[in-house]
Amino acid sequence: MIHLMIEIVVVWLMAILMGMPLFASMGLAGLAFVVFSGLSPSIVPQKMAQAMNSFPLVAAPLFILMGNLLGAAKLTDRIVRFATSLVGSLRGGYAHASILSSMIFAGMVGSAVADAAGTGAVEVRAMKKAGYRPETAAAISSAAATIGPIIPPSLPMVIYGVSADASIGRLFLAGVIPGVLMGLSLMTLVAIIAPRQGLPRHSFGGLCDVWLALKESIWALLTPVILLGGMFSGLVTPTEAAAVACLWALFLGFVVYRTLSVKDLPAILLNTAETTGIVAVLVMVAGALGWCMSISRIPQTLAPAIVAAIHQPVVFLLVSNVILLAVGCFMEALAAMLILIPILVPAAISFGIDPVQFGLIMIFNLILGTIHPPIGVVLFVMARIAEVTYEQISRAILPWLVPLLIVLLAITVWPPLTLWLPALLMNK
Amino acid sequence: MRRVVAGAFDRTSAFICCALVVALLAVVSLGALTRSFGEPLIWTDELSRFLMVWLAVFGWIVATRKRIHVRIRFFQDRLPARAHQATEIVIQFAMTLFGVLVTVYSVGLIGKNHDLDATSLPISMAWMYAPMVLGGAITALQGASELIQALRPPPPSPPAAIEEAALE
Repeated sequence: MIHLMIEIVVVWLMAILMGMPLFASMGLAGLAFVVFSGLSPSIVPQKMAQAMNSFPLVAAPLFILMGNLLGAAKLTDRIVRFATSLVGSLRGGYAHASILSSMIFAGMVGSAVADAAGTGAVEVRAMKKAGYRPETAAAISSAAATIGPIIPPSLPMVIYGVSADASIGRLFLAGVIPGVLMGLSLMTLVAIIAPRQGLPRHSFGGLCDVWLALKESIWALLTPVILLGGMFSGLVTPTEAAAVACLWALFLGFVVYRTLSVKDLPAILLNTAETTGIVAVLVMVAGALGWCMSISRIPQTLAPAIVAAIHQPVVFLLVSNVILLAVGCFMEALAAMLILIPILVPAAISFGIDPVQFGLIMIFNLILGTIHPPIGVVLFVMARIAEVTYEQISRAILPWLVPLLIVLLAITVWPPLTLWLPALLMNK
Repeated sequence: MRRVVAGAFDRTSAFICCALVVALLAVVSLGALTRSFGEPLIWTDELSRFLMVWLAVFGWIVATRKRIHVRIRFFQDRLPARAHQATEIVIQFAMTLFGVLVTVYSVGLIGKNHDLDATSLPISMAWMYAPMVLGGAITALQGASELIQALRPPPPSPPAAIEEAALE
């Protein structure tokens, strides 16, 4: 069976590169395997439906809905204003504020694209107005947007947790320190380049200005507190926390800030369903194909072979980083994750690497793919917002990849950066 | 006529999607609320999972209709026009085949599960697989429609058209 599966995987990869929609190519690969193995083809639709029959996965559409509600409620303006009042008076203040806003917004949305589309427009507008070059402003906002799926909540973490059978709560906690480090490393680079490029500073409005900005945004700033507090106090599960956060977002939009109207809801709900559909169908076919791979014993054969060939866990992690960064150049992050989990996670476990640490490394690598050419989804979004060409932003982003790669290296070689907080708060 | 039917279908599926998202939020919230009062409802978890399957499939359908599924066009877009068309024909044929196979085998699944009851809900497990038939069928129809489009000869590029006009 293993030879049959390898042949099918080769054809499947060719189909992907040829441009076939990923879900169809994965589904057909699964169907080809069961047909040629003499198994019942109804296994494939059965496994597809069963992949969705998961309560933790219900968190995914709810987190998407929460991000859409908060985005439509225009909370980003208040958050950016608050961040600017705090760090705007530093040299390169708007860049610092952009990064800080993304860190705060990351506690409310779970994807880099949502972060970019949510805070990006406000941040880029402010930076351009302050005299930043548009491509520099776009590059800073793009780099900051990658914090979105690392600081909880995180859509990729929900998908990884369900697919790799890892605790979503532990994954969320594991992302906190790397997310903060990402923000700090980007701010360090701003501090280095700001004097050289003559980036302006925003005049400090005094503590009164900070207080006013805090008062305006306090309800929005409470969102991550409610979400994460509920989850980690044990009051609610991650899925229930997502639902509570959606209700909170509705309360903010309709009652507190009155920035949402009933007319906005159909578009928000449909957008949520569309995004869910794109992600969910990949999870469905990955569930079927993952089952086929398991039956063909590919992971069971590959994992010991990788361990025998590489020996050292750190070398395995570094090799995985290179593979994931390369894959991230050409493939959408969630899709790449679903394809690679059945191959890389068993090997990581064989090396004694915690699947939570490996999950963070995997997500980090693939999210970096969204801000580097040739297929940087966040770059596409931000180029449109900043009205620059894709080539301009592709060049401008390069220096901003350096601090993020340093953080990636740090979480790769030093597991406590990811595992200390979950161990502290979840007794494991 | 075809456009009217497609438009009506798109509006209906959009409405169902919205209703499913609202229902999912309501059911999970109800589960959390009743549990916090120490009187948990036993059926909310299972119902939310059923709704998740339906939402996933209807989201899949909407994404298929809008042609926004993930695909890597990087290499295909660099092919010459004829090779691009040939790959598109193969891709859409494969999409159609996948849709047909999912539809056919999902019908079989419904038959096998219709007398199997859900754990906490008074409904058959066949409801878990029922949306798969629709998801497969729409994928097949969309694939077939795009296959027909791909089989049409590509419109002449402007320089070629000018050359032809000059020759005439």
